[in-house]
Order: sequence, then structure tokens, then C-alpha cells
Amino acid sequence: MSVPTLHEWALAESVILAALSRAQEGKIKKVVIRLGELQQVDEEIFSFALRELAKLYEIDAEFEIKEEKATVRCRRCGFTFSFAEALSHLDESSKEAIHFVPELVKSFVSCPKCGSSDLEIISGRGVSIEEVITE
Amino acid sequence: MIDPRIYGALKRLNEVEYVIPVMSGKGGVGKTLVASTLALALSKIGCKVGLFDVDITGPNCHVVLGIKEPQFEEEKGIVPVLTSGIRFMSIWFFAQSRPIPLRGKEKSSALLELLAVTRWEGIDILLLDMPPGVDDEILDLITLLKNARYLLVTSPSRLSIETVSRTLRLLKAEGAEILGVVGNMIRDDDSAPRSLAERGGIQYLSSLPYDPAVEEAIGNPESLLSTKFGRAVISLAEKVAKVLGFAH
Repeated sequence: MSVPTLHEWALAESVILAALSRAQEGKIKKVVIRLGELQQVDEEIFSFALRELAKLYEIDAEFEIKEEKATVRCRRCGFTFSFAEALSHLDESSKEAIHFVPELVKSFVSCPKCGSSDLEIISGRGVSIEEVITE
Repeated sequence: MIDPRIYGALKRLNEVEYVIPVMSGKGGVGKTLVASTLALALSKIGCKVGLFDVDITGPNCHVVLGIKEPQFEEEKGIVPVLTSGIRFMSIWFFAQSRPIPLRGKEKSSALLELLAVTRWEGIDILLLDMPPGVDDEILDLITLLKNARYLLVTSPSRLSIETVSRTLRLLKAEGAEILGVVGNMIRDDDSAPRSLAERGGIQYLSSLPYDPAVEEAIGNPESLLSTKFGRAVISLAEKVAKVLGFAH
């Protein structure tokens, strides 16, 4: 597989750098990562980037990836809706914008119930680290 | 949960030799125009320059630079667009003309996201066009950017001087290194900006003239640099480059 050139690489590098910082002097054994649905990270490319970056940073660790469902809530009326409901009617370039900056869901999506853009991302925003396990 | 982005953002920002937040605290003093034109001027005198529009909810640098198409490349991250000799990135590339109704933490998060993935390798000086006010993004950046050199912009108005004085006190209290003060929209012998710098013990870098020709030149970098304002910014760029140790 050729080296992925997408921005998933930069997201993966942030994870590697964060894990190294957390581990301090310890040897990293496992990193548990959550991928929030809203950011639509390509898991295959992201995993590949993690493995390549691990070699570059000389980390011999397991990476476990968990998906986190995305929930968005309207601050005006309280209506809560899912990732599928939020993004279903969007074209590819709009979804791409949210892929880069998930907060931009507020620029592209309005509440299905009241039409407000004052939305809050409750869960599944983007990339986060659940745990760094060291030896 | 650990947010990994701060580590990525620090790495990206450390790829740059100097980060210069162009700020004020006050709206309407011309930060965007000064930041954008200074970026163009620094590039014109030979520096490798980047410009990042930190005004996440009201980006405008792209208007000054005359960018019409929101196209950019990805290469292990976001490659800031090469335009008029500078590398440029802004949330505008993603939101374009849509409203960006973000609350405090959301602005911080959006900013952090872009900082974590935008690549500034090869850049000597990265200018940050900061938003008005002293809000989450500015406070976050002050914490994040330990090696920044702050450039304060003020107009001669007493309203601006009052607010910028406050901003200066904050930066000093946070131990920030201040490159200097620039007076913008200066007419005749407006001396208030210089007095502000002197009272604060900070270098007064330049008086940029009020120039009605600027409005017409916005969007055309070559024209902008040819105005009376633009020529003064080129002199400012030469001074800034010298202070930072870039000989031209």
C-alpha cells in the first residue's frame, strides 16, 4: 500500500506524540484510541499511519481503535439527533469540511426540529485517547 | 480522555522559527490588514512567511489576499496554500461564506484542530491574525505559544488606546515577549500610539498612515504593497526582519 497522504496522517501523529508524552520514560505497550463518528476518519488510513509513525518514533505498541457514536443536540429546543441524521442530506464537500473541522457541523447542519444552528456536539466529535498503557 | 491535538499543534508551531501573533484586543484597528500586508511585505524582502487566520468565526485575510477558490492540498496534513509568495491557511477554506456560529470552547477546539494538522515546514515567520477581544482563542494561544513575539496594533483613537493598554498589561503579566506596537490609520501627528508604547516600555515600531487608497487595493496584493500604507508596511517588515535577525 502506498503511503497515505491524507490529513489522517497528521491526526495519527498527534496521537503518537500524545502517547509518548503521557508515557514519559515508560515503554508504551498499548494505546486505546476513540474515533468520533462526526470526524469521519478513514480508519484504514489512520491505522496505517499509526503503524508507520510508530516505526518512525520507535514505538512497539498495540493500537486499539474504538468507534464513538456521534450525537448532536440543539441548544434551542433540546432535540437530539445522530450522525446519520446530521450528515445524511449533505454533499461530499460539506462532509469533507466537517471531516477537517467537526465544529463546522454548525455551519452546514441545522436542527431537524426547529431549524436552529446553535448545536452542541455531545459525543463522537473526533480523535481522542482513552488510555495509554505502559510497561 | 486525552486530547492528542495539543501535542500535534505544538509540533507544527515548533517547525517555525518565529510565531508573531498580531493582536490588539480592540476590533476595527486594522489587525487583518496589517497582518496580511506585513506577511506580503516580509515575503517581498525575502523571508519565508506563513499567515494563519485565527479569527475562526470571522475570517477575512483571504479577502485581503484576493483568494477566490477554497482549494488546498493534503500531504500528511493540510498544506497551507501558496499565494502571492506566502503560505496561508484559514477556516475559510472549509466554511467559505457560511456563518460559523461557534461558542467559546468550540472556537478553541476548531482552532486547535487546524493548528494540529497544518504543516508550516520551511517557514521562517508565521504571522497569526488574531480575532478582536481577548477571548478563548487568544488565551489558549498565549498558553500554547511560549516563544511567540506579540505585535500589538492600535489606532490613534482613545477607545483603542484604552483597550490595547489593557491587552499590553495582560501580555506582560503572562510573561509574553512583545515585539512592539504599531500605530495604524495614523493622520498628521497622531502621537497616542507612540506614547502608549513608551508608557509600556515597549518598542514603537511604526506609524502606518491612514490611506484611502487601501480599500480599493484590498484583494490585489501588488496594488496593496504599492499604496502609501503598503510602502510603510514594507519599511515595518524590514525593521521586523532586522529585529528577528533576518538580514536582507
